Amino acid sequence: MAEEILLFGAWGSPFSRRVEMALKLKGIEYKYIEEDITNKSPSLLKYNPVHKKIPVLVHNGKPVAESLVILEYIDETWKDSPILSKDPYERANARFWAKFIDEKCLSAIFKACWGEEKEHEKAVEEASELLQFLENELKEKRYFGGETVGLLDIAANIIGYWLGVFEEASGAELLTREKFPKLCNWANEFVSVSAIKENLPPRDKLIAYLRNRFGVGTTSK
Amino acid sequence: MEEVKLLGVWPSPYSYRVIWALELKGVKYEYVKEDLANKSDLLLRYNPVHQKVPVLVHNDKPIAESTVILEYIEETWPHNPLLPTDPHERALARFWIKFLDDKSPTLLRFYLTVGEEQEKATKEVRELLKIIEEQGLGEKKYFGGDKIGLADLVFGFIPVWLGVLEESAGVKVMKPDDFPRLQVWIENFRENPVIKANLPDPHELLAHSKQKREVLLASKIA
Repeated sequence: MAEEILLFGAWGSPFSRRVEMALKLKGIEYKYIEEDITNKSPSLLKYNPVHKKIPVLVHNGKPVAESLVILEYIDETWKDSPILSKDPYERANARFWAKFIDEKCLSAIFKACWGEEKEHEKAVEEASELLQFLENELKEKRYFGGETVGLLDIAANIIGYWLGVFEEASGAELLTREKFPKLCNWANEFVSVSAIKENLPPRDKLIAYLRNRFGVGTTSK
Repeated sequence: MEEVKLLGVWPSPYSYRVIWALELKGVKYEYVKEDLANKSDLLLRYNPVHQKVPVLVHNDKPIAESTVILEYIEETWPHNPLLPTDPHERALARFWIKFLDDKSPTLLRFYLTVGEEQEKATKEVRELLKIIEEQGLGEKKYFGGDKIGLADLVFGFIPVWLGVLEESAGVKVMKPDDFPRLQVWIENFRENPVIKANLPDPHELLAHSKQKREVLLASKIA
């Protein structure tokens, strides 16, 4: 039977790009549909009626929503180039940190870049504490997943690429080499992987979009 | 030899999810009661990032975050499966698990507010229950399909805690004729012998909820 794989996404969204990264890493062919989130398509509303958000993966007509749920689905459905270890403890570890990134890091990073000026120093401190956890988790590994890119690396795409772009767009300084040498090295490795590199939104376009949407940031000169 | 410890707190739905999963699979474990006002060294060592419960410790390896723990339990003790085998159905179970946890502020708001704010919050939680009933549960007997699964354990908040919060807050979120399919699921959930044998004492839970609400509301006014 011919497989039909659709991905509803948005060019600048790290969540949407996560799914593309996983599909590319596994060499899976898919049809990409760019959504305008200010003007959502009837298809998106049909496939994700609960949240009406991207990304949504539609595999042979069956939709899957929520980026981390999609990543698990992809790994369970296409077994080549696994993105999760077979070991339950390592799997739990990857899930724990992916959740940590989504639930804690993103909002903290945003606050540090575009939060209120009087809260800025505190916001930077809080974001730094969170990044420190990730720095420690990396240890001497090349990737969070070990020798190859795994689910946690993909989930950490926010740290690996978007964070640098947020910093440039807003003038905030978070991921410095002095404080986070391992994370910086990891970020370089991460964006060099071809399946990742091909799936990064253009930097200038993203900066322009962020500045337009969120302003020039707390620390912009 | 296997050593399984669960660090939890008594009235927490998050701790109970893990208890139910372990009990449904017949896994022997030692329950360690934590006092969140006075966190043990063990808790701080095993969950330095969040310093929260529940934490499962399996042969001295800690796992934190209830939904991560549930998946770990499912993978480590695969008998009596609590997730479907089909990847799409598994994805749906995970989607709804995330849905409930993401919406927990909305679920709790009616309990934490008074007056007009509470009225609005009550309306919002009813809308949520409608989505849960129509799109989450649908025509299925359980969220997991034919039998109880991880998603049911997470939605277990509704049969066990929602009524108590309603009573504490003096508000009816689910009236007798509302959400008929959800009501049937609630009955089935509560009748499951493992769940039934592992429920918090309802009187203690009510007393605790009432007291907690008083404290929370007083601190808001202050």
